[in-house]
Amino acid sequence: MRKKQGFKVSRVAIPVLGLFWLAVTTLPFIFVAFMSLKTQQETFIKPFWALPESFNLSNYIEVLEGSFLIYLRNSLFVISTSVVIIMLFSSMAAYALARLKFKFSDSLFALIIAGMIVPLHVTLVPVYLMTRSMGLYDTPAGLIGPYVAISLPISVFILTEFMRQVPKELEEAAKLDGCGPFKVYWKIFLPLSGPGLSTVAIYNGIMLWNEFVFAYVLTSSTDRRTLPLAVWDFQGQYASNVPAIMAVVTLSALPLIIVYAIGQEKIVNGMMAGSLKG
Amino acid sequence: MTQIILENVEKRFAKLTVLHDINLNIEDGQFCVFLGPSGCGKSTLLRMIAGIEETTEGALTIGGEIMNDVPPAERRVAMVFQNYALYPHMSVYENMAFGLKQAKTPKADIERRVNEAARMLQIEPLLDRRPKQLSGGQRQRVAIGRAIVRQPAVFLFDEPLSNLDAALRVHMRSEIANLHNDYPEASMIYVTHDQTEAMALADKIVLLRAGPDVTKKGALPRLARPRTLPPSCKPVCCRLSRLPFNEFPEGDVGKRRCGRSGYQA
Repeated sequence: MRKKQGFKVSRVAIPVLGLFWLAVTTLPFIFVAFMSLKTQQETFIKPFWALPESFNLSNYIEVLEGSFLIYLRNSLFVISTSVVIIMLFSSMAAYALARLKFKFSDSLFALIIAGMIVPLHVTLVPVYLMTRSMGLYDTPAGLIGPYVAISLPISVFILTEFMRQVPKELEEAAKLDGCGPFKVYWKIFLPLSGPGLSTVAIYNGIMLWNEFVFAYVLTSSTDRRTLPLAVWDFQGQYASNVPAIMAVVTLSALPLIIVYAIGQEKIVNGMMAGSLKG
Repeated sequence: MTQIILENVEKRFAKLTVLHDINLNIEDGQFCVFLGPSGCGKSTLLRMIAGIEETTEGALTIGGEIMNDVPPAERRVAMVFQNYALYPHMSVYENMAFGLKQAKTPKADIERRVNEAARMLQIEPLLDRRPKQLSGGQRQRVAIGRAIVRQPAVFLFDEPLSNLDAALRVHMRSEIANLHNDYPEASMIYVTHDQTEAMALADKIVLLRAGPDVTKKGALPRLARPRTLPPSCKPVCCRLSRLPFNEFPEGDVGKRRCGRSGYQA
């Protein structure tokens, strides 16, 4: 009897908590979207949470007429290149750490994971100086390098744990079929890590898409800057165009939302089922 | 030329010796079963022959060639795993063709061999499916098919039937026996802890025993005499089997053979 009641409570509590969390995550975005439709006067006169008076797209037009599209292009290039390199490097490292036993492999893994502890901003000055001395300042490569580096520890961690789950027999069967270590990685582990790779791609993609500090420090010209810096264009020393900033934020978030909506299904589409008895 | 000879073979994991001084001769085309309780090292021995596990000491010869340092793919062996180990991201056809592709076999040849094996195992309609769309018995057939297409000198089976239900197990057992008839020149090694399976399939049964090394106590010379079960062996056999065990006074067994199976250690 008691058990049944507990069951009922959870049946109510879980949706309520879910709705609460949905509100926490979506309300700010709805606020941003509404704000982006207001005029500057409106934001000063009307109460904070008031709905926009009309469906006013002038902020968007203003943003799109500026350098937004250049920023978008830069972001797309830098982030997609970084994510591809991250997936390639981290999956290779993960395969080696998960399956090839060599001297100090465990210590090496621990060292890579320790990289997650290093506060990102501590590395800002050295990275800036290195970038300058290598002549990469204000180039896409100058951003891609640090982006890959800061994303590797967590990616290696996720993929190593993932690849440890791949049944050992598959590797052995591949060896019997004539695969060396690289072919085992390329033909077996990489395709089977699909869900892990999507996780890594999405996690890092979102993080890097929103990355501000490195982009701010390592680039200077509009031609090279990425999306998070677009906000900066509408932020003066004494005044800021809040609705325009909100329009930039909405437009910046849109690609992520679209990509996530498409990519989510792929994550769910786990390929591991059926490799073993089941 | 599919004879397998093991000479003084040992296997050590770090300091732990799991297989002591194994001497074994499996003739051309013989069906040999490794029988023993779990943890006795029978799978390890099989994996050493496959080349997945390194041989710490001794010589392993297949078809007159020393194979200790030969990579698994070049040993002309094919293995069927207990859990099938089919590549989940490939279709049945790709699973069976994968090894041949790695060996750079011509495409037409691959197609012919895969189709032939599929016809033999009656899995032709399944060639486009993924492993997860197959039943246990079908997966087992695909795993056997993957072994057949490689036209190996030696088939290795690692408890291939233990994941199937009882009825299917008996059925697949007879298919494996048929396979042995279809490829009389290939040797087969089959690992199991099921005595009935061993009795049904084997030309030769190798009994492995878990526990301390008996060879040091001088038991091996007695064990090695075929069809003679020394007292030290009896508890192993009795523990293995729930079936009643016939006991004969030493020297008497030769006159009263039971089946074609012989005991050897």
